[in-house]
Amino acid sequence: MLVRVYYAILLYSSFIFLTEWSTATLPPLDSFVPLWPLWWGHALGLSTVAVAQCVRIFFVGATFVGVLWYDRWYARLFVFAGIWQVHALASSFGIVSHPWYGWMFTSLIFVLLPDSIWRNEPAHETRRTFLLVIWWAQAYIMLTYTLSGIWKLLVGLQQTAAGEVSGFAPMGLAYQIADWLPKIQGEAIFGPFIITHPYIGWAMYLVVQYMQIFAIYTMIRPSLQKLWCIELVLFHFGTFLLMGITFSPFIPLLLALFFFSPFIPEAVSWRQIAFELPIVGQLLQFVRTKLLAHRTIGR
Amino acid sequence: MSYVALKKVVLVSLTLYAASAWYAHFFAPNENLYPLFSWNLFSYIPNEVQTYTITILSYNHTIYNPPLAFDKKLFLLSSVNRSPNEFIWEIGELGRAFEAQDTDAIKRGRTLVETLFRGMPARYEVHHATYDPLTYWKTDAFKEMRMIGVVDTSVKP
Repeated sequence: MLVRVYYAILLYSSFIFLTEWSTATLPPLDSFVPLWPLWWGHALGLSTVAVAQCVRIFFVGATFVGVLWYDRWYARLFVFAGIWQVHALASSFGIVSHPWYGWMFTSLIFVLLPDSIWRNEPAHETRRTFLLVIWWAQAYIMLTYTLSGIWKLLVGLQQTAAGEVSGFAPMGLAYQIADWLPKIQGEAIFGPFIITHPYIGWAMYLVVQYMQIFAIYTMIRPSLQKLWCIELVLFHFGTFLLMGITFSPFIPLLLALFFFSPFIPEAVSWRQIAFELPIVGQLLQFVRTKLLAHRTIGR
Repeated sequence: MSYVALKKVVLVSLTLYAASAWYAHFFAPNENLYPLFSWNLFSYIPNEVQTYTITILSYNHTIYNPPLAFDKKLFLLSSVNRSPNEFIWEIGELGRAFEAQDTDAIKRGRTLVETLFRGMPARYEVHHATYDPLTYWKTDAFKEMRMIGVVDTSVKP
């Protein structure tokens, strides 16, 4: 199910890309400096517009192949090639496009899914390999969030030590938003609200940093995956509502990989989630142990 | 590939990816080692910003007094299919070119920045500005603003 949903979303994404990257809406051609995956454009003497057209059409074709033949490794490889070209094109106009990284690397990982999982009755080894590749793709995504969280932690400590307003400070998010909003001059509905009510932003930002740092932890605590998925999706909604930043490709990717995750237990209680939260869970466990010991002594 | 071998591949690849992120941060801060990326996004809280910006003195024969600030909902941006953030990078390049008096770099910078004017005549100033983001948001006040160049688009670079 997860794999089919993944390639179905990509087909839809190719349509969105087709509409958003039309000839009329291309960035200024003067700023086009093709990254190395687009070497063929120069080799064939193609104009920037022609390169963009080729990439768009190729991506659409690749995603159709992917949704129809997701059970064949060469079709999945074709899809990866399409996404890679899209990412290279989007990143060739002065600024690297970060949102497509997730799809690019997970589609490469998915090439290694065992085709035999979709044939007759797969062997135990095949099932294990299939699940391992799914886990790998999920782990890559969570690793990107953890890396982002670790940088926030390290830079936050550095700025705090220097006596500066850091990501841990009550005014941290307000400063970030105040600096960013003039740069995008677009919609950020709640940005001004957070600037004028910084303590609300403070609590949110601390939670975001906690969730990002420990994102990779959910790969060994699958009961947390759905909660983390929802929070990360909310985080992306939040970055748009507060700062006007769209990281939209990551939202369907998170939903595809984690809402349909084969690792989430059938029944997960809020108690189990609480006790498996990083740091918080250990603290709760510690308190419970102390309370139990106290009761035992009391008897 | 056997399951055991694949497990090793998975762990090594994730470790290498994390290592590449660190490498990208320290050795490719401008993301010029595609597809390596550090994932260091919005970690730094800007306390005091030093940047370059432009103010528009005239556009298409209309004189603006006070001059139009680039970062104050500039109407010109709605006519060009680019985000202000991309222009900020280019304005920065132009500003650095003016500071260095690098005529080739000024020419390159002007070519990109002046796409904002879509071929219409304009005069604009390039400034080096220092500000506290929160104070600037609330009061429009810079700590320091220093003009480093004036450009008339009718004079070709």
